[in-house]
Amino acid sequence: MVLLVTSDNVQFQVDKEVVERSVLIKNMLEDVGESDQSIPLANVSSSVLKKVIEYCEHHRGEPLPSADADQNQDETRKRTTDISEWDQKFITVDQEMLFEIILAANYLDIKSLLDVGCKTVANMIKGKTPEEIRRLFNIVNDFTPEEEAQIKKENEWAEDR
Amino acid sequence: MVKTRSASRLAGNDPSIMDSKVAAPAASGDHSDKEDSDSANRAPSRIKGARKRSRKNADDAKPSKKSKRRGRLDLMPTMNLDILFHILIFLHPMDLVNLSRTSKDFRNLLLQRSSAATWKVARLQVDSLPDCPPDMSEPQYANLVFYPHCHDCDKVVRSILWQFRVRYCSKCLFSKSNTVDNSDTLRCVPWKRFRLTFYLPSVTSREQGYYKQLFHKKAYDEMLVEHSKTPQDEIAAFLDKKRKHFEEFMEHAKQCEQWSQSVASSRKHELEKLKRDCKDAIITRITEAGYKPELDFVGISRFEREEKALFKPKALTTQAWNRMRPNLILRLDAIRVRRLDPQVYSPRRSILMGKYKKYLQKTPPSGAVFDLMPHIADVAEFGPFRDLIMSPESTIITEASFCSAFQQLPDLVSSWRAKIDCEFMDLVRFLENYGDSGKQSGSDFVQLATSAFVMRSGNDHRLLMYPEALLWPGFFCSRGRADWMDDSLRGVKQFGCLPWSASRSHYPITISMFEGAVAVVRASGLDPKTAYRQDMDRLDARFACGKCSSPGRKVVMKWEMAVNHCRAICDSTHSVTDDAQLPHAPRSAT
Repeated sequence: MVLLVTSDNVQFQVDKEVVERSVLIKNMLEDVGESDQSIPLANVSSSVLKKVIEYCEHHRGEPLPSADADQNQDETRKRTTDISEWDQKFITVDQEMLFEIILAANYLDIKSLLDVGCKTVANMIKGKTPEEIRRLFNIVNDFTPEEEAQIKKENEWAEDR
Repeated sequence: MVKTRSASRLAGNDPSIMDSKVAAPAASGDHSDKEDSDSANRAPSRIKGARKRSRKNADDAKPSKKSKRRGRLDLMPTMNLDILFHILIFLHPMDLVNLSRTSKDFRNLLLQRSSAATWKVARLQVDSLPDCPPDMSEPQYANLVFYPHCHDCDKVVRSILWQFRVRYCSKCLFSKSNTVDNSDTLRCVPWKRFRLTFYLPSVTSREQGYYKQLFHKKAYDEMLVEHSKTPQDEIAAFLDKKRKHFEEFMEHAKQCEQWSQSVASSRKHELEKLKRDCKDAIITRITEAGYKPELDFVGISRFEREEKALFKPKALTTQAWNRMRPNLILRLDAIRVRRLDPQVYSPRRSILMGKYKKYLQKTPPSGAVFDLMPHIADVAEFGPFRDLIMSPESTIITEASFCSAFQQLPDLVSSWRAKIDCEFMDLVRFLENYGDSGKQSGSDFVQLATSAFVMRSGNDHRLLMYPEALLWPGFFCSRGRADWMDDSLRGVKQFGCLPWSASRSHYPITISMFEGAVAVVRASGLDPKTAYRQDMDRLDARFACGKCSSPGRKVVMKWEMAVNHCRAICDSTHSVTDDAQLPHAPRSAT
């Protein structure tokens, strides 16, 4: 068992097999070796870690992506935004929690969880007009109407303009 | 500089950095130096009025009402760039175009050449789309391929002029600022001995009935400028280069056109399939709701034609079904009414017709003496009969099912007769000297020998005596098509007439007492106010018509005939024939 301590000082006893879905923790455990010391996760709150552990528990035993998978990723690879049923249910959380999970997955280096979170956000953006995206992200439109008309015509790289 | 995920992770090993990195809000007031240095790694900052993100405690795991209500992803732009780009790689090129048009920050980020990889990844997700040509930027190519608007006026335009790599609406295509007509080039092109179409892509299109070969003005002008700058001895090489470029350009345009067509074709098939699936799903739902017989009755293809607004090229959700259900069920119920009549009620009416025919042929039951039996159209409307005919589809109705109803028939006929007598009497206009006495005496009045009536409705006017007057066609006729379309009357079409009604006629019905009858009764020596038909029958007198008779030749007739004859020889003003014209001729004298 591994003892994890969250930013709000809550302790979690987690199976090593479960917690090792996080490449960050896996590497730390490999570096430190067998130890009773707790692992502080200053970037992760207890409510988020609870969700992350729930995800890792569910996917326990599934093969981890190989270390150099990222490098080998072919950019031509078809990227599907499909999310499995369980993952979809799991990620149906309020949007603040969704981003907390993404940040935690990025920090803990849990590639599959990061993918689920990013796909969920991407799916929310897909097919929306600029105005709808602005509303979604609370972005202020800082284009003048003239600029807005102009940017539709100018799509070359900024450096080429 | 953009951080990689691993870079973030390594930085995250230092708790002090971890603290500063994790989602510190852009508007936070306690930025450390580290945070300031990180700010360059953040996505385009939003965003006026963005809320401060408060770190939640473990107790706050339940989403607050506030965040639920907000329902926005307004934290995304504050995220680390590598996370942002991780999100972006799942997007379609058009989503990137849209995102780049949300704010200046996003535009600056996405239109940096360093973002080319993100655009390329997005483009490569689009099946078989030819590569971005080297003389276009990825955003330009994405805009061309996926933004369905005129590049000049922003009007919606579905088709792409691949030869020009633009979208123009029909108006902008012929605008002189966008295109050059080949016939105009002859005056200005210095190398006019060459065919310009070998070096510049062209489009042939029709304007005001004339076909025009157009060049893209931008490309045309560039070529003119380049040509003017090219020394004379290099013109041949210049043209070779141009020709080669033209061929490559056209090859790309051809590939794009093919891709475009295949996308359109597969989209068409996809939409057709979606529409088919939607139709199948609706039919399944209708079947589950118990309306399959109605579908079979109208036929699937006709139903599809009539309800085509329902069959949309998208999956039928429960919500969509619930929205369309109430109105659809109303229409199906109307079909059910139409179907039940020929398929269920009509056979039952046929059974009743057969049985009623047999009933009429039998001796009437003792005590039930009727001078007039109702038409089958009326019988079918009598409660017990109607209930049997209209009983649920699943009920099996045979001749035997009507037995109990037939037992009640004498009573039903009595009630019916009283009702129609009453309605009839309401229409009768009494003679002035009669006042309303007839009405007051009720059914007795119609038994008097004077109960002969002039029935009028539209062009139809005739003299009828009671009770034959009740059989006047005006009481059975319809108002035409409207009656047959009326669901409550539709069924009786098979009887050939409608149930008795004093009010349904298209024209108003007027019934007037015939004064001639009074004159005949008076001529017989009886009191018109008290003489019954039986009295006149008993008297069996003969009447001679004073008008038709001539010396030595008398036209003599029975009293009922005399009443009719009186009507026939009267003018349309109903003038009363005086007694002298119809002298009483005792039977013995005949």
